[in-house]
Amino acid sequence: MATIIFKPTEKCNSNCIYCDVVTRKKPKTMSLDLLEHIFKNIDEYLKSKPKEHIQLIWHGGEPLLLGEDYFLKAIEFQEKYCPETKNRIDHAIQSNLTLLNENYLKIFRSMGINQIGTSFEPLPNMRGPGPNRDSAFYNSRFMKGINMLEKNNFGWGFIYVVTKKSLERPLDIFFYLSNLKPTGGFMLNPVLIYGNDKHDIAMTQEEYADFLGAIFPYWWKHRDRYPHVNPFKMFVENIIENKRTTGCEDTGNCAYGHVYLGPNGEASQCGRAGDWDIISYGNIKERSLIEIMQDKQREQFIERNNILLQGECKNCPIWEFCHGGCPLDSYIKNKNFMHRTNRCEGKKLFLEKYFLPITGARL
Amino acid sequence: MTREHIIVCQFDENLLGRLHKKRLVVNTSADANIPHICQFVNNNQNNLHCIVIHQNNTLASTPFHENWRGIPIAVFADQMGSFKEIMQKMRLIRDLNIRIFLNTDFKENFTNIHILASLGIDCGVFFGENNLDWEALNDLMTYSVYSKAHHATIEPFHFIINNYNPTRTTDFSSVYFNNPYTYLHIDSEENIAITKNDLIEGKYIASGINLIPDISENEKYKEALHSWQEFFLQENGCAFCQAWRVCMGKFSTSIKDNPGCSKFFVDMMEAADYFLSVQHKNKRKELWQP
Amino acid sequence: MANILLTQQCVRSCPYCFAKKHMADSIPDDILTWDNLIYIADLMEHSNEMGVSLLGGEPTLHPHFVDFVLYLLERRFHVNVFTSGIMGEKMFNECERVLGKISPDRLSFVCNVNNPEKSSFSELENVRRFLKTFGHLSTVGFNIYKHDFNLDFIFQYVNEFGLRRHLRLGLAHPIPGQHNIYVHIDKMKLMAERLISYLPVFERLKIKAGFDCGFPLCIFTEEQIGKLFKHNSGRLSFGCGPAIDIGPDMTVWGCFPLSNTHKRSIYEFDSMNDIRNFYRDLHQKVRTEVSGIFGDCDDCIYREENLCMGGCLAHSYNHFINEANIRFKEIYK
Repeated sequence: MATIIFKPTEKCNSNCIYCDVVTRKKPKTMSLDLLEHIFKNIDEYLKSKPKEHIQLIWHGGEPLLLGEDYFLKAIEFQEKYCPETKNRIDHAIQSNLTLLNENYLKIFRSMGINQIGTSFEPLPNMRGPGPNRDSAFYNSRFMKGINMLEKNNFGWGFIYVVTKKSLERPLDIFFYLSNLKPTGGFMLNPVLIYGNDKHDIAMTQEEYADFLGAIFPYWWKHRDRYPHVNPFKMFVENIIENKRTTGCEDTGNCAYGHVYLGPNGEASQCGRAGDWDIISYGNIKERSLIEIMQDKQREQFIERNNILLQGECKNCPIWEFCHGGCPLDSYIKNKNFMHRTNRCEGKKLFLEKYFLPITGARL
Repeated sequence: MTREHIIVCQFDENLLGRLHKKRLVVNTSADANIPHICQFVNNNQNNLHCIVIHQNNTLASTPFHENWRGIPIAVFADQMGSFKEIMQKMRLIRDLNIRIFLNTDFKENFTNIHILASLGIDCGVFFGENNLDWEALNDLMTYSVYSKAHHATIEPFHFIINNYNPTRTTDFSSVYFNNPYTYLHIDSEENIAITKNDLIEGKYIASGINLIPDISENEKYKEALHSWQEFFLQENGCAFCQAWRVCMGKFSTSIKDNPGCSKFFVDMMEAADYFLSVQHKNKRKELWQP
Repeated sequence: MANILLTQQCVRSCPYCFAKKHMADSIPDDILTWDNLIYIADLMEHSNEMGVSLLGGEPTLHPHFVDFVLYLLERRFHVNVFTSGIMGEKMFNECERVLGKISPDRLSFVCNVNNPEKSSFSELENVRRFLKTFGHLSTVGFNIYKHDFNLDFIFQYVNEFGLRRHLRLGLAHPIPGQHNIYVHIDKMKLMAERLISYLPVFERLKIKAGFDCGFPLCIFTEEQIGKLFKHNSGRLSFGCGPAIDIGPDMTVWGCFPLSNTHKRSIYEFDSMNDIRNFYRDLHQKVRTEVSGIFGDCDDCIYREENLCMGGCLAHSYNHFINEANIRFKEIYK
């Protein structure tokens, strides 16, 4: 399945501390003409690959700022231009839920969406509108959003971005998040900073490992209570249960699987690459999706696997579920993709210091 | 979504006459004619869920009677009173469909409940106004869950361990008829409230028994269902506690003067996990039968 | 059957008291709580032991004595109370009102009596009042602490108050390392003779005499054994098994004279059997060091076949008091 990180708008109603897209860029929104053009391209792509599916992940900014009509138009374009391929288009959406209403949910249902990805932050003034990030306002709207989801039987999961400010109270934060969503269903992802750390929120790899390590013993003991907390669940599956489950950054096969389409039709490897203008596959106005998906630049990600396996990652016991990590991490440090992630150290530290001794597992 | 709520009210023949095809919890005093209440409720096409006797005197002075047999009853009493008097009625009490609640404000009640449960009387604590003795409550919970000896159930521990799902919240307010998913409280003027206290304090969500069938569309009702989320909007509140999923902030107002709730509910969760694991271990596979 | 001490307090100060050391070492106000009673009842029920003895000190001094008895009866235990019969007016009235009509197959008393000549008037009045009311539930117990004891007053009690026709004869034992009064080894045969001299009276009054633990077989002659055999219809015991005592502080020990050795917490055990096995094993180890109270015990065929346990183990412990620690280490704990 090919994944399109689809960002029809960069506008957002929140000023999250760890996101600089809104301030760095002049936020743009995709025109309906371009939206129409994209659905034509999707149809063309799927027709060229009769067994392929496309997952279209609506991203932002905050996609709900597009308005209900925008999504209705998307449905209309899909019906109009993809009559034979529409069943191979799977929609998904990432939203902060603060603008959610019942109409949106009806629209999403008709698009085949039955769960929504989001993110949340219990610490004050980290997420929210305005220069001071009014988290009280934001969080109360967020709660209304999840109530609406649950009432309408939508699933939801969320990402918690671990920052330097999280380090003082890892377990408290874990309890809060797991109380908010008792099954777990959330990820504890490290903050990713590209450029200046204006808000002093970046962490060292060791700090992130220790953050996870402060939670892990409790989680391991009570994992039946919180079955879906990552990265713990992912490590358990890969190391103990010998299943291969990874996030996109660790698959080692994102080369031909992902594409980012921005509000002006600009194409890149993925959302992160698009946000940071790291790699360009041209513009869908000028190139077809088929061409973009076959861009020569993608070969370097395949080549990267070979280089790492013979070099930096040679004999690495976690290669099978790491693959050197996200190539963009390498780019941040080295200005090329041919090195392993700079998060490798933190990952291994967590495994050696916490995961392996506590679980008794071996690599 | 329409919920069939259980209606909690005082025994008021006028009010009960206006209610039809409802499940009812009827509050009354110890000197009431219990069989009459039962008969009255059922004759009006309603269903008796339970009669709640509020005993202002001691439990021992409750006029337990043979004609209470089969009637679902909860007795809420502050104190137990004479053990000898209770013992004289023990056989009868044990045969009744009854659960006895004693007030945590009286320290000896932890022992009294221990005694009653060990003698086969289903019972429970109800939380008073004074600072709670968490250690005593923990001892009682430990007995309730872990003791291998035969004993009757003790609430709310019994409810928690039987309804506990490790991946969900467990709200034991049902034990006290205060869970808005299950119970609504109404008074003689047909004012509707979420809890008994709300009713007393005039915090109504609606007025009129005709509104009950559609109460799930009532905005105040919907707010009440999500009132637990208030804890997630506080910077250092109960939402940060690992035991929140079985406590849900019920002791948030007293936590400053009377800490200990967190430790208790953490132990409660451990006990519920233990109970679940025992159940799992004892689960017999369903083998085909000849 | 386990013995539960409700309280350490006692109304008497018997010179032979072999619980003296235990009482002296205990906190006098320490009384069994409701929660601990329930724990013990649960443990006993779990162990399938449905008989319980309540003792003290004087158990009726416990403020919840009557409630405890009612509670245990309600849980279908057979309750046996060891009492002096001496109690205050209020407690007596409460016992009379609540316990007086309980069936003898559910509740019984062992009223431990002393020679009236050595008792005060008020004490005697109390005992008589108790026996008058609870005679139908009561067996008399008497502790022999000197060889020339007197049982005449007991026969009088049995007849006057219609007591059960059974006499529980205890033997005062030494507390290792302490100075209580007990029948010394070299006086035991005299004590046995004295006991046998009462047999015709026992026969005449149809009273059976039963031995508590610690009577050695060989203090009786062959002829005396024969008489005792006939008197007790062949049921003779010369045992010394661990009687499990449970203190108000939830400690357990393997009988009163040994209460200052090898005390354990009841929470260390999962069942009454576990406790009993622990003390049985321990006592067995002691007996491998010293077979019995007499030198001859080592070669005694009856001892070897466990027809006689060689007298009270407390005598054996006395051997170890002043010696170097040369035996297995648990002995000296």
